[in-house]
Amino acid sequence: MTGNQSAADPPPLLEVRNLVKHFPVHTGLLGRKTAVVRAVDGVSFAISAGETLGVVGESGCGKTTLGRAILRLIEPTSGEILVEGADFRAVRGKKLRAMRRHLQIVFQDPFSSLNPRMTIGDAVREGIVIHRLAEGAEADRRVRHLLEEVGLHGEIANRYPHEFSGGQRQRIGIARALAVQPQFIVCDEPVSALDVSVQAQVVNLLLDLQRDRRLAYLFISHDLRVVEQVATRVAVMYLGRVVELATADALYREPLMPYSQALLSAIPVPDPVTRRERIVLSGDVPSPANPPTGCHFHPRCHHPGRDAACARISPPLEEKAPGHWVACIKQPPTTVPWDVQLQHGATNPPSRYLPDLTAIRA
Amino acid sequence: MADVTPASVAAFADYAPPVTSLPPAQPATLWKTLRRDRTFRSALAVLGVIVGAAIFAPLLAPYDPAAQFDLTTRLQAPSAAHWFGTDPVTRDVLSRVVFGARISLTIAFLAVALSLTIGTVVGAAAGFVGGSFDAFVARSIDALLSIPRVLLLLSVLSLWGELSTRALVVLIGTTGWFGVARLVRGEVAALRQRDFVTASRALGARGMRVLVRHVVPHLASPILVAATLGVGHMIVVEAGLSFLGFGVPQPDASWGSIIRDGREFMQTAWWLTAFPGLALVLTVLAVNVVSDRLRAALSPRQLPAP
Repeated sequence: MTGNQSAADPPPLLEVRNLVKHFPVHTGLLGRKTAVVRAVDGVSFAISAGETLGVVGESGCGKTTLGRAILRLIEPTSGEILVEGADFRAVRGKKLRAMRRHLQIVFQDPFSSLNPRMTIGDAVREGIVIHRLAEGAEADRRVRHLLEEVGLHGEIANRYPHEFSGGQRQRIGIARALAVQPQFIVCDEPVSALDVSVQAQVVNLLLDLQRDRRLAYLFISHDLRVVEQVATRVAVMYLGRVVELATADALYREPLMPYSQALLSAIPVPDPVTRRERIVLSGDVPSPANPPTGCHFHPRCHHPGRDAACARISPPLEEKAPGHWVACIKQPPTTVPWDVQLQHGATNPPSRYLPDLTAIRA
Repeated sequence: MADVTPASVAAFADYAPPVTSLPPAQPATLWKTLRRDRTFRSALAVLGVIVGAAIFAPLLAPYDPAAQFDLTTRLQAPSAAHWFGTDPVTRDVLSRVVFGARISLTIAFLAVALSLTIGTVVGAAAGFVGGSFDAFVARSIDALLSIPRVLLLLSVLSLWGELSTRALVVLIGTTGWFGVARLVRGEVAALRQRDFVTASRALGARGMRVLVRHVVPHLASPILVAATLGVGHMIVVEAGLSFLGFGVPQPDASWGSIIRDGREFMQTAWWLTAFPGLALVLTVLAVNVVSDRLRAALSPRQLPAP
């Protein structure tokens, strides 16, 4: 998905190639490395300015680790991170800190994301001070302006976080990130901890800011409804891998990876009369320290074509339709030829399977 | 007071308050909460009297603590002239106890200051840097904590024989920071995981800025509690050493050494041990009560709802 770029095109704002983060598991008195948790296992994508890439998946699938690894808040094990073509993984020390300005983060927990002993103004000002963007009265003016931009009063600057509600704190966290004029923001479940009515306000704020500032977002969420609302494209993650990547429109209309289908069928429908097909997954998410062989999803898969080959072939993320990338060897077309599948014990040839999800789109 | 490992030692080492994001305990609010606490007020009053006595010892003590009278005043029971009685060499016990407060408290305060400084620096460095350095420091602290304190102190003291008061402070202080280091290390390691610390790193803050702006301010409460507990503990340690004969050199006398001087006469002249013992117990009790109440008041759960 990264190779089809001609040399004349400007590089995308952010490009991630084959990003991997493994956490070693140490056990015993001597702390020997006994296992590896593959939290992020070879993720690639690109985001351009003004675009939102939604990342969805169950808890533990590596969404949060992915967000932090991109920002190098957790050091990735391998892979490339390119910011406007510049290698973000190669910089260190002063250069790294300077480059961090372009990539910011908004957190899930509004109660942990602000230092309780620091005033709102100082929190928002911190980035301005670090990068010497303004001083004195000019910095004050900027802080006030930022607070107003996120829908708060400029006069609250000398109050402490505990005086604010969850939604207000989330706005403050957004203002703090905006203070350094970033181009890209990782939104790590930014509305999951908020009331539904407040969620909409914060989502609208993020969308307004995106429009005004041409921000690019990596929007991590387990709430498919919210992602549908904000995302241009959506990546579905399962056990550290992207299993489907498509425009939000295509994904919600035609989810091709059986896991995405199951996720979408679980969206609650606010209409008691509507009947719909629900795909209920059996079993729990396997441990990312010991994922199933082949396709990670095969033990829980409901695709009628599932067979022995699924347990042996690791499915590549391949383009099934223009811009629609899916990791499944049973959804045609596939680059894994039938004779190769046969060699690995396949019994069912690829056949298109799409459950009826019309009720969800109502 | 030979027992120098009272329950307060364990509390000193293991105290770990919960890290929450509740409002900062502003000194003014803290004082408001504590003012209403009668137990805290009485403990503070007791401490005030004792510290006052130590500071104004020359004005308050009726006699020179080293002054010796004629032999007729030897081992006199408490009387109007000598409130706490006199000792075998005719010195006034009240004056000795009052001046003893100076020695005991000074040693305790300085030793606490020293051990808090070392413990905070070591603990914060380990917790903040993390990785193998942290693992090394943590295991070392565990190892050092497993050595009985008295054994450590006595073996060092037996090498030098008699130490100056200054050396004694250094010795007690440098063997008392392990618990503080463990406490601070745990706090810092927990704080390092908090989102606001991550946010600061994401903004491009250097390590020192994160430490000073986002970590250290949260250490004030646990260190304050550790400090008060530590004072009580250090008084007991010093008294124990003095009692064993390894304490402050003559003619200076701490409460521990006054008790030691009087122990042979326990059955005939109770006042020689009872009064310094009482001063010691009252002080440690008051310090521990203050510490306990302070901890309760600093604990976010007890703060009024935000």
